[in-house]
Amino acid sequence: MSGTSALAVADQVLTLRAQPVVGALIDLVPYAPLHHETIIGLRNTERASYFLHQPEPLTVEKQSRWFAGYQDRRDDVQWAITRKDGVVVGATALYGIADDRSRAEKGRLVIDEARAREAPYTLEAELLLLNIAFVSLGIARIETCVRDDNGVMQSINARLGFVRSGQHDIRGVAYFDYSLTLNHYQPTALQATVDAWARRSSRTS
Amino acid sequence: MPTVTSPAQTDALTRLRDAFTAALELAPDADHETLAYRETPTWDSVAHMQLIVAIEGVFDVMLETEDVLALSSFPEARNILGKHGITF
Repeated sequence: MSGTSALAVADQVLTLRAQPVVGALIDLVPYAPLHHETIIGLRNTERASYFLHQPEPLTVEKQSRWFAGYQDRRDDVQWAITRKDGVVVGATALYGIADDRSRAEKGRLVIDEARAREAPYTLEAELLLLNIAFVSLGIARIETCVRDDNGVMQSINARLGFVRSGQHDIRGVAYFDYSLTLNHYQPTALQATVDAWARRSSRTS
Repeated sequence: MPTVTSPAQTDALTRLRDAFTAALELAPDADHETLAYRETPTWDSVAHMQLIVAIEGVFDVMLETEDVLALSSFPEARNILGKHGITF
């Protein structure tokens, strides 16, 4: 790994934290303290706490401490998943971005379940994030892990082309490991679904 | 008295079945009447989005958000399309 490539990744992370990624149905807006309250609310739902195996409720104090550490890191980008009308419907992140671009991890995904079936927000957030990882950052391999009984995320990962690579325990709970390389990435059919929803949204607005 | 269906009704039912079969990647002999969101293994949130697009394309309709949320079974799909004047 060269010092130049490490600097480039750090610079790109800062750039990503400075401007939204514009999608058709949602935008990935760089995470900021103004999102704390909404995201804490989503993280503290029974469903999210279960799948994220969150041992205790998140608080503004804890989230503020996490954000302070986040600001010091240069291998981590967190976004608020935001509808075009400004409503925050979730959050997602790309982190553990290696200086040599060999790997990064996607995760910390949380979505407002009440809005998840309105439109393919989760799907577009995943596609935008993976596009950033593979195209903008040139990451070779994206990794993620999913609780063993989280069928929804396992299904989405499989459709995107992720393959299961192992299993590990987090505080006694089994999580499946997945990885994805660019040659296995299958965005076409899923992007077509997002595009179709964008067209229907434009007809209804 | 036996139920009598017109050719147009049969055609609509076939097209709806075909839309479900394609979007949910069902076997040709699947029992469509028992399909249910998140109970049928292949009917997850992503497939639901593909199913809505498929139904709207096949029947040239635009479903309201409340119908997108309510469409959770094959019979419910028939009811929702009935509001758009499609008979089964």
